Amino acid sequence: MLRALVDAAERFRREGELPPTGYKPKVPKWIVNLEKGRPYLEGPYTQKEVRAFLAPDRQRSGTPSKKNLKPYLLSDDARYALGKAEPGKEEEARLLHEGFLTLLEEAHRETGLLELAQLLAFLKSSDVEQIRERVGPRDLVQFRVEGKNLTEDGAVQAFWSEYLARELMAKNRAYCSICGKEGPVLRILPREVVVLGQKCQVSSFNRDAFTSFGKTQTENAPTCFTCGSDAVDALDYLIRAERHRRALVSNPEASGLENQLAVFWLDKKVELSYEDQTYDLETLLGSVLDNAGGQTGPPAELSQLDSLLAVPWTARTSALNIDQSCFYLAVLSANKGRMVVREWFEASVGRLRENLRAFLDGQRIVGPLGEEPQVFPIPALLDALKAGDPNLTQDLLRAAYLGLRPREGLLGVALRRFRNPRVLQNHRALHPLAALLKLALTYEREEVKSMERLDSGRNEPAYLCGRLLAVLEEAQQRASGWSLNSTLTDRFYAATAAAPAANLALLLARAKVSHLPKIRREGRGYREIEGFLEEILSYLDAQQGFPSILNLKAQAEFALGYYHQRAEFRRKS
Amino acid sequence: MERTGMVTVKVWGEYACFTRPEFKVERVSYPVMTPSAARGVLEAIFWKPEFHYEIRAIGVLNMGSEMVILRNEIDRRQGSNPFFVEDARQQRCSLVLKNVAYLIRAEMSLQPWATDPVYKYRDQFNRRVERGQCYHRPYLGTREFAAFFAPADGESPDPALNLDLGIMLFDIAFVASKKRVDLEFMRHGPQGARRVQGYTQAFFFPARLEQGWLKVPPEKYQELYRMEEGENA
Repeated sequence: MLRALVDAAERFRREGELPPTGYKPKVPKWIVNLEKGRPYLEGPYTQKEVRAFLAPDRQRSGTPSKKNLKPYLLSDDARYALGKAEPGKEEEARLLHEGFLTLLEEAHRETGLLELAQLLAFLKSSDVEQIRERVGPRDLVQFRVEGKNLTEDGAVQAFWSEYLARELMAKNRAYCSICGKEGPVLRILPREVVVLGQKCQVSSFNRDAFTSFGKTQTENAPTCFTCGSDAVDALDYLIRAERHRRALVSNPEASGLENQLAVFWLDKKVELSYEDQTYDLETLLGSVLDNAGGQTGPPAELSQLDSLLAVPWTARTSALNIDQSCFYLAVLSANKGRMVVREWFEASVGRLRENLRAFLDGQRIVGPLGEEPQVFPIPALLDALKAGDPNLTQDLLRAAYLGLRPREGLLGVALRRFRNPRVLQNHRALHPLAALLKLALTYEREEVKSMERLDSGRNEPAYLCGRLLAVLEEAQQRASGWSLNSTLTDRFYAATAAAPAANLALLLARAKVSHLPKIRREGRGYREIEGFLEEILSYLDAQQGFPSILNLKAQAEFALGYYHQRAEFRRKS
Repeated sequence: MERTGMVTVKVWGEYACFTRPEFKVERVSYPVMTPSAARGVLEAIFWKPEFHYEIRAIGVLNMGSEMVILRNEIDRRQGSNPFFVEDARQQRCSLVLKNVAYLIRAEMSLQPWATDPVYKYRDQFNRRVERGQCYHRPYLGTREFAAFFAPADGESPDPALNLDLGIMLFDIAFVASKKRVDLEFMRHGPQGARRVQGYTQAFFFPARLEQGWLKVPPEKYQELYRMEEGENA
């Protein structure tokens, strides 16, 4: 994964998306302008009022001390940049500011930039007092000298990269675990990444038990500066870019391990061209991971992908062979300052197309009220399961992108949710669950099309039993004039789905005595109900009657039979 | 006298984790067994100071699937001082392999001081494999993932399996050194075993599955021996 990230860094740098080494976008609260040596303070700004700028950044943790002094070059909080003390911490602020000035002096010595000398002169003068009074100790301060943002200067950027390399190197040499070359390796990685609000190191050795062979910190995972900084910079960019990230499970109240963030990218940017329209392939492929965010239909990009999968793909640039482009995907979580990789794979776009087609076809199913068949992005499917098991996420991702059949575990979890009476009455939760059941049952099988909606020719006993239960429920509803809050399925669905023979005969007998005569008397579609009953029971007779028990797959058949039949009734009504 | 002899053994197991060094805390497994893990399996079955194994190729009979497991572990090393496990809990994730099977093809290479012919050791190895004997339970990457082993039964890897695995851990050199002392370890020589001080160095190689086989470059072993012997001298 880190090797792919190093390659991705090259691509993003070529496209001008990646900040320079050891840089990160930051939003200043205060901007100190120096014009002809005179300071002018702008601010305070909020995040919305001012544009983020690229500023030097590095990993910083622990209590600051002479040995643990890690100022950022040119832009830092006011404790470092101006020596503004927090109450009772005057000595600490003095130390931090000294560190900031020493770094600036070093930068000035190595780059020879006059603006840095000007800034140093100001910071050492008494003019700084009036500025210091107005800012808070933790406010981020940016400096501009003669209208120039010094962090953008090429010489400053080169200095910061070299300075970081010097600072972060271990004293011993080793072979880099990413490029395999021998040379100096990092003692610690340049900076952290933030996974769904939690700061974490890509490779962390923050406890004694994690180290081996007497090595300390990142020496346990030997990485050269170029590979380490490129991998972290690329990952940080991917995590921050809307285009490359999707939150699969995001619950602010949950522990870091429960939350899951997907980042994905292609080895090169590809634009598809179809009917005079241009589509961004990365966005399209990522749409399977879009969070519908409470909307009723599938996200717009997923619908586009669904339609585009049916036509041949041509690149906007004829020189590009789309099928050979490589797609990368990682699912990440944070665990106590350490990054966790829950899933990692790469696949060619040619292979992805086939797999995505099979995945979307597999789950496409009619709505619970008989609406047109629809597909769902993975977060919507996971949300319907309410299981929080990372292996389910992995199952769905692998089915979607790698074409691996979902495991039976998925069927079990989906069935447990499906038979919950509250879920049975909740259309929004039921639809993605039915899609999951269909996916698990029909993935890459002939029935994938016929099972999109009611298949009246299907003579699987479990499917027929499910349909029969839906017909009996409809009879009960019609007899009551659709006034019931809870129906026979609330009470009997779970038991009937596991052992149809034990329950269906009883329910059928009750319907014949109580519900059907009333429907006939009051003219509420008796013929339709009777027609369905005759059709289903004749099929069941041919299959030797009601099955006594159903296994997991048969229970999924039962669920789909029930769902399809109910959707059919509601479509008509 | 012949000083090298080939051995082949089939290993398989329910789970495996060949941890990548860059993800060794929240573990991520390489997709295929590493040469050092293969050496560990062979040494668990049969080992004498008179020879060492050089892995020549690893055949993938079953790539397996990947799964995530979360386990309670501890955050400090166990030593002579007892501590309460509850105070040192750490939950760690591992992206591991499930249901894997490999063929390990290795060369048994005699040490310079060995006097017996290599076929003595090779035949001993083969007899132990047939009987299922081992000095300690072989494992697939980590000790909790036990490995089963048997003589190669003619099963061969899928020839359609071609995959670029990137840079993979080859093995770890134990270098005796007085200038850099990270740890103590045992070193075997003509006079028997002795404790030496030094450090370790991980070696990597560009790994690629070709027709189901991961070929291990023999020159890497020479590089590793040079490093181990260089500072020792």
